[in-house]
Amino acid sequence: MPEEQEHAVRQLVDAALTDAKAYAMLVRRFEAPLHRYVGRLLDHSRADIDDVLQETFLKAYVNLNDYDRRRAFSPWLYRIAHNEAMNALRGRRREPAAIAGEDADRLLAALTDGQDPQHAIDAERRLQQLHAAIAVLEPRYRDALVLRYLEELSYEEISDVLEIPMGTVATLINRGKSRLRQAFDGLVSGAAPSASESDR
Amino acid sequence: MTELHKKVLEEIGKRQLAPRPYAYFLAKRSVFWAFAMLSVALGALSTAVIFFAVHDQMTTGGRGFDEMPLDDVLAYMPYVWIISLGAFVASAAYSVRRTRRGYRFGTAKLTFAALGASLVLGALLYAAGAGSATHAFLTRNLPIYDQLTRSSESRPNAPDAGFLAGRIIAVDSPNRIKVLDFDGQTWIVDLTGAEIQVGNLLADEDVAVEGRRTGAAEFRGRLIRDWD
Repeated sequence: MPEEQEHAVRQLVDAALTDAKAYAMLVRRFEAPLHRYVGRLLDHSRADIDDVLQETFLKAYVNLNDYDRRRAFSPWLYRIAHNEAMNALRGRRREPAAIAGEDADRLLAALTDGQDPQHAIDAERRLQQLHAAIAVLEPRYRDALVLRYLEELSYEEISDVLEIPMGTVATLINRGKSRLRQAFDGLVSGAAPSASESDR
Repeated sequence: MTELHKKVLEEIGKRQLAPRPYAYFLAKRSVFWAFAMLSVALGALSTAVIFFAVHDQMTTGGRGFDEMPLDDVLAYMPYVWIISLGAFVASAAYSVRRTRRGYRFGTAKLTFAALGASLVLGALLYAAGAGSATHAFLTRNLPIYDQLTRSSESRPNAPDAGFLAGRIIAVDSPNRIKVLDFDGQTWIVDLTGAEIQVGNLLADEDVAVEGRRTGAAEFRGRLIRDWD
């Protein structure tokens, strides 16, 4: 986010401390990206996603003074949303969302290092294979890949969201890509992927 | 787009929510920093006592660790303090990890930093005499501590550790005496060049000799003093 926008967000945060209506403006500002992000983490109904989002914004409001003004606001908010989404997943024992549509294309492009996947394999089959490959990916790799390639966060921001060192972020992304590629290639060549294979 | 912001505002009003004060988070963060600093301080104190215990063994035990068989080395290790150092280093690393920016550092980095800080501070504390003072204080006031540690004063007769205590049974020459130790073994003690802290070397005197064992029943004294 450009520095002027970051500055405006910080001003809104300061205003929100004393005026809940200013907080409503912050909610409007971040509702769409967080809705998209939580939707990528949860395979729930719209109502479930809204519940997670509402709890995220309420928690963020109560903890607004914990936000470090020297840092960007969005990773702090993403972190709360991530934690809330994980709580929802744990609480309801549900599987993570299947990544589809444009998201799948973008992830596939990252996986094939930018080559046009259309020329590689049939589009529909390729999506099914990608879904299957993602399904066997460990959540920590999946989280890192989603934040990097779909939310387009920097390594530093991912470090803030997942609360892990930047070196670990880089490792998760590299290994995640490699394991996803392995599982994907296995599927393309006809071998069925398994969690144990992809973890190797 | 939903009217989420309206719902959030309604919930804030319904639940009467308000941002927690900055002081609350400051206090929360301070608790972890305080734990981290306390852990490093206690780790440093453990280090100081480890240094003292090793130095005590080297200077009063006669033989250095490098001259001992492995079982002796293991027997004289200050385990209590090594374990407590490990525990405080882990506690310091965990506490820093729980601070606001602590997650940016890996566990290994935090552990090595806490260990390094404990060792450096511990060396300073040792130089200031905190190691021996802590050891002496705990020996006086905590009976179980005395049982768990083996320092020079808790070794009334430990020739292998360089500490011989017993009664003089013969004075062959000013530099050579025979001592019957408190465990009933007779020793020929060579006092050449030793510091004599007893008035007269006479038979039937109880003495303590610091030095090193040089044979099956031979001992080379570095210092001899009255047994009391």
